[in-house]
Amino acid sequence: MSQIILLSSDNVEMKVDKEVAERSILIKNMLEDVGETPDQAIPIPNVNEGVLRKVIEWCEHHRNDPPPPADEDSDSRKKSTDIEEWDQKFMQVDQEMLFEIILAANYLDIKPLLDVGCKTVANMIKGKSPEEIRKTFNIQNDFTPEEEDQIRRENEWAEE
Amino acid sequence: MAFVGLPLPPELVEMVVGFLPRRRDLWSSSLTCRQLNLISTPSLYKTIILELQDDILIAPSPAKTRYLLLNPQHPKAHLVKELGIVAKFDSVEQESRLFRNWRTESASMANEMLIFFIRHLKIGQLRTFV
Repeated sequence: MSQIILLSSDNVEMKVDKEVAERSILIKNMLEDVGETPDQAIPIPNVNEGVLRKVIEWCEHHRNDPPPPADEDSDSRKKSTDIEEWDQKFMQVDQEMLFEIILAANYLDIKPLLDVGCKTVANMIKGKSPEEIRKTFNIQNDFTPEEEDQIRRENEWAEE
Repeated sequence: MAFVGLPLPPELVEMVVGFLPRRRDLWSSSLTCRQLNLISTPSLYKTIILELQDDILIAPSPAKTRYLLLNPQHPKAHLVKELGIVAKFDSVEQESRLFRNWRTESASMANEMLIFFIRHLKIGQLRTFV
């Protein structure tokens, strides 16, 4: 099994099976463009060591997953926020890490990991009041009182 | 220090909101902060379902969706892309003649309400009508 070396943004080298790294479409395309397995480390400038290790852990576990269905933009994918058990445990990290994983999955183009990350955030929003959502994510209420009042009136029909 | 919205670029916040199918969650999200409001509002208004209950004529406080449908001048009416009616009738009552009248009346009332609303929409705005 051929291996490649990835270089994190903080200059840490990591050896991974090519097959595992190719869960990232960005890396897969890069390797295809090069044509042969490179000896030199591939720099991943946007992802630090901790996050890259976590992403590789996910790719290792999902190395044999079948490719996602072709109609990945269809609504059927969006309907369910179910997350398989291993992924749920994998996502039990602090919020900073959760958002970093989402950003890394987006940058590295790992669609299924991006979905799991976004579903995890959506599940943290579900069933909460606006105030509870703000508290959960430490979000500042940046509405003016007038704005908030107007939105409340406009959206009143949906509050049930 | 508190964040201004979720610490993600808009296209990723859009993905998160895409995983919120329940109206109540979109409502909450729209009132959280400007960033989530901007992204949740189109989803909140995209699909409007008028739920007909067998008590539509006699209930003192009708389904809230009706408030939106009765006001086509609503500032967000242009965001509606899908419109539909869902009717839930109690089958036990089905044989009562009085009830059958109610049912016919409420169906025609719903029709009128939807037509009234649709008339005020822009041409080509609706993608689905069920």
